[in-house]
Amino acid sequence: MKKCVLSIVLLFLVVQFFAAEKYALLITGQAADHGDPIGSWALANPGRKRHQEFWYDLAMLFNMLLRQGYEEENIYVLYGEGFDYDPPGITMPAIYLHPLNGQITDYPADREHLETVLSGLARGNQELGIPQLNDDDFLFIWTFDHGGHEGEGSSVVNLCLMDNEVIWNWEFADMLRQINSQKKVVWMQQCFSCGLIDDIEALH
Amino acid sequence: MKRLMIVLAYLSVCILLAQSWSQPINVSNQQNIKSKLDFCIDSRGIIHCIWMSGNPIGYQIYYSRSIDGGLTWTTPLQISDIDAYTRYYPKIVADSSGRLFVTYTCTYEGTETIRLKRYNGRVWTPEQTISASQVNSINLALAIDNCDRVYSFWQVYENPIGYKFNYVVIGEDNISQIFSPYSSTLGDNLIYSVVADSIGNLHCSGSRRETPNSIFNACYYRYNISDREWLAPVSMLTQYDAYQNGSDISLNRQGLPLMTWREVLNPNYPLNDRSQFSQFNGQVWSNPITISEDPWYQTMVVDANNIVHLVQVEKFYIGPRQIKNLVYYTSDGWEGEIITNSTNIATFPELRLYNNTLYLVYLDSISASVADIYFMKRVLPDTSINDELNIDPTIISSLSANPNPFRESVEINYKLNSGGPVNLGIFNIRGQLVKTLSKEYKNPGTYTVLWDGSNEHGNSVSNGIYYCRIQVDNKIKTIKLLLVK
Repeated sequence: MKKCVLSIVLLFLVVQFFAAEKYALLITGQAADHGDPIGSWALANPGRKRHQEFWYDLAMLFNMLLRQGYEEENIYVLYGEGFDYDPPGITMPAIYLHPLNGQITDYPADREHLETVLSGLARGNQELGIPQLNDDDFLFIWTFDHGGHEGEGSSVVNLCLMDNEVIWNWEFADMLRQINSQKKVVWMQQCFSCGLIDDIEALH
Repeated sequence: MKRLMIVLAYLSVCILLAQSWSQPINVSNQQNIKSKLDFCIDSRGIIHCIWMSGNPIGYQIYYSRSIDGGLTWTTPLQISDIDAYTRYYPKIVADSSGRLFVTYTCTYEGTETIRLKRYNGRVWTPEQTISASQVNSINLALAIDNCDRVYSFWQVYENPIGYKFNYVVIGEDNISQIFSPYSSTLGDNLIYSVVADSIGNLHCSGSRRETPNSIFNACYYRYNISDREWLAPVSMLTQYDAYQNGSDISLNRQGLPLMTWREVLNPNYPLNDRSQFSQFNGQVWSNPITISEDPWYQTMVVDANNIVHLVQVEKFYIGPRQIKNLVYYTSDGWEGEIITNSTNIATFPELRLYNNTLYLVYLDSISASVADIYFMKRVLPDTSINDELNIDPTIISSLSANPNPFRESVEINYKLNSGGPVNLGIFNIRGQLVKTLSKEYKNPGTYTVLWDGSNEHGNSVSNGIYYCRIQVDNKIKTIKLLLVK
């Protein structure tokens, strides 16, 4: 009887130790908005330089991931200049805010922080509390920005980050390749995102 | 004489015990995602509490009540209709017969409407849409007056005029037309908290912005019931953008309004705030005073002795990790008392006064996904006994700085009415500790500490705003310092 209980406890501990974790990385670079929630979608409102729909999609996705059982500390959010879109005076719908009105955004969506987070997931970063992912983990990546490409008809495409920084398709794929995982799911909303398919489709 | 001393000592202990907050009681007991909440106390003393709770689709509205003063609570009941919609920002009031009125925002496929739910003493009625002709409506406030007139307010955006509040008056069997009192006024006019006085006038705290590029001024709105007219809004002296979360209004014993609001000094990350307070003397509003730096939500009531009781969320640090706890202030010295012991975020406080007792409902969390609704109460002291015994309830009698602004060094002066472990530190506008000035037990008395504008490593810090915060046990006080080299 004792042996049986001990075995069950041991099995439980082993399962816990090797349990797969769910991680997510949400990236929204240019042209993320922090201004008034007045206006409409980018295409319908070309005069505006920044667009709040980037925040709406990101915040809804963050809340959906929480409801799907992702731990908040396992969701890495890079948005705009590094702070949430929460304009004064106006009450935002709850689906666009952190449930406890905490910060959703962890880092600015610039090249330095993107590289830090991706290399952290690949090799671990104790200082920032980013764990090294292992072969059992699941990683969900979502990107939304303006998107760009090298020239007409070119398959060399990029993600648009803040301060006019970009990250090219091969660079992004190379960074993702270094992250261990059981499976990676990449969901892209920016223009020209199909140009990244052949670079990243075989990465787990 | 000895007997008198014993009686006085016994009375002092009783008063001190009565003045402390009760242990938190878990209202919701559902460990999942939760967010904003509200509660009311009906004429029989039954406490009714509602909150947003997450499920895989979105948020729904849950309800629980306590018939024994908050000791025990009924099993949470989902009162919003069961479908694929998501609901949030619930508000609740009770009329003189104990009937309940609940409003909230309902979202489906990007369209927001305001829904009403009633409880007639036996059953909850099906949801009713009260903003039928308007989409993208966000629930703001719910109020009831002495004649059981229920007012429901919500936010709309009217292109190209701006953000406005609209409202309806809810009767026993009917709902009025939708009123838009400032629909023809350019700019944004919004309210966040409403209270009715004894004759049915409405007093509202809100904000106003005249043009899209100007700041949101904290603003007082008033509705006169006798001539059914909204008066011209009164903007408070507001230096920075007034935020919606943390705006509250209450009436004193004479029926005069008092307002508190949150201003954001630094609109860039990390947001840095201050809570402001102003009161109306019948003719003018007082110049706003700053209660504390860096708060979040405030909620406020005024007792029968015109003492203001305020609870707000403030940031603290466990090592590098930021947490948030609730801090309780009274206008009797504005000394803060930390009243929760959260390991993550305690937030969304709602404070009510009933039978000389403060009732507080709030959310405490272990993580964003694991949170519960809690209840606490505090019996207020009989101030006549307090005065006779000459008890000063504050521990930190004063905290000041001289000179301020300062160039090279500043003298921090503080006075303690009773001894305790003192933690005196300088914080930057990000809320990060710059330097610890004192961390030791101090006896009652007056103390002076010099800060030479250096950090823990002895390096000079840059020009700008800093905060000096003293904490003795769970009591805190903060002042702002300005370093100009």
